[in-house]
This record gives sequence, structure tokens and C-alpha cells, in this order.
Amino acid sequence: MTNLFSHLLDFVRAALEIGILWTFYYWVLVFVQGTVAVQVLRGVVVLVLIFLVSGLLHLEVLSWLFGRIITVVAVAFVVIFQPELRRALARIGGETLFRLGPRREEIVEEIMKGILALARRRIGAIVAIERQTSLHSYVESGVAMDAVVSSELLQTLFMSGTPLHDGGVIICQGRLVASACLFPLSENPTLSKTMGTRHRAALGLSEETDAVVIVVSEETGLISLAVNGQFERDLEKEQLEDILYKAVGARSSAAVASPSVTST
Amino acid sequence: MSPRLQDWLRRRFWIKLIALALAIGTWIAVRKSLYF
Repeated sequence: MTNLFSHLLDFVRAALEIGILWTFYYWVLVFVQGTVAVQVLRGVVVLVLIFLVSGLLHLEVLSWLFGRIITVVAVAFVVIFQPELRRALARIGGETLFRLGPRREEIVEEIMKGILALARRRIGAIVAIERQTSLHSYVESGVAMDAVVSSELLQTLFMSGTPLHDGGVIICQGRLVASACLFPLSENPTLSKTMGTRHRAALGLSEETDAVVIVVSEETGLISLAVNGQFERDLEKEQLEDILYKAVGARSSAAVASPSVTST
Repeated sequence: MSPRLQDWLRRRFWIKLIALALAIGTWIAVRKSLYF
């Protein structure tokens, strides 16, 4: 009986250890997904594989050489990715464990309030919400922020004459991570000539990623939405709220349906 | 299997699988180096 209990305890311990390791690896892989770090990691994996294979085949010279190279690479890795590592550690300490962010309803409410206020005042705006595909490369093109999403902040960021008003805002996992970001322009020939660069950028981003992109027209004050390379214009408040609610937080690709109407 | 669990598994399936392989591999390698 004691033996059985001991085996059970060993199993639980092993499962717990593997579970924690899995969470760690999963988190690292998600964090580096879509960034330059992936290419570097691939290189490291190739080096480690050569090292392991040469060890297995008793190729002593290769094994010795790659053993030394891996040590150098490990140090270089820390130096090259120092900003990313710092951000990753800050995220562990600051967000995941010790701080629970605002609820999804609150974030959607703040985005809605901000967008509607911008539309009322006819201030052009472009807000991208990350889903499955990482927007990391676009974050790097703008100014990093990492702020709580608030209607006031959104309105302030798009106020003309301010340094950050030119470009798009990116919301990732419920945080406003960057502003003044550059999005790729769509080369869709069917796009109406009346659509400005802001709309082209929104469509371009939605063509290249699965992000949900909201655009407020400076000329008309109309709110449009670009998802999966399609535009839906002049949205009702409820429609927008519904789509946003599904897009924010969950990062689920199934959650947000593609707009049914294409109006270009 | 519940639809929510299915949906969770489907999302980033390959990353989850690679993370699991790495976790089990690390666990086995460390245990081996500790006890053998």
C-alpha cells in the first residue's frame, strides 16, 4: 500500500515537473513566434543537433568543436537578445503572476468608447488587434508602449499634431503595446480610389496577418473594419462591439468570423 | 472531448506538441544525468 502510494506520488511529481517544463517551453515558443529570434533559434537547434549526432557517432573533433561553439553561442544569445530577455522576464514578473489585467469587457468598452469618440470628432485612427499571428514585427516599426487600454489614451494618441498620431496602434493580449506603427499598404486593385492610405494600410495588415483592424475615416468619421483582407464599412456600434469582444483577449481564430459584406 | 478543449488543442497545435516533446526530452535527459 505504501509502495503504491509512493509510486503514485512519483508519478504526480513527474507529471508536475513535465507540466511546468511544458508551460515554460510553450511560453518561450509563443513569445519568439514571428520574430527574428526564430531564425536565430533555428541556427542554435542545428548546432545542437550536429553536436548531439557527433557525440553519438563518437566524432571527437567535431563534438569538441561544436561543444565550444555552443558555449560561445549561448553567451552571444544573451547579448544579442538582451532587450527581449529583459522584456520576457518583466512580463513574467509584472503580468502573468502578480498582476491580473483588466477584464475583456472593460478593454472592449474602452476601445469602443475611444473609437466612437474619435469617429464623432472625425479624427482619423487605425487600431490593430492581434489574434493568432504575431504583430511583433509591426510593433518594432512603431513606438513601444505597453499601456493599459483606455479610451482617453486612444483619443490622445490620434490627436493630430502629436508625435505619435501618425501610424497605427497595436493592441495585443489586452495591452496597448505600440503606437505610430507602420502597416503594409494593400495593393488590392479593386480598392476604391476614395480610400486613403489609412484604409489601404488596414487592409494590407489584414491581408498579411489575421489581425482585426479598425479604421476611423478622417473625412467621413465612419468606422470600418478590416479582417482577412476584407472590408466592412459603416459598422453599427453593436456589430463592432460583438466583433471586438471576440477578438480581444481570447486570441482565437475561430472566434472572429470574416465580415460577410465586402464594400470597397 | 468538450468543444472548448478541442478548440484549445487545435489552436497552436504544433507549438504545443513541440513544447511537450521538449519538456519530456528535458525531463528524461535530466533524470538520466541525475540517476544513471
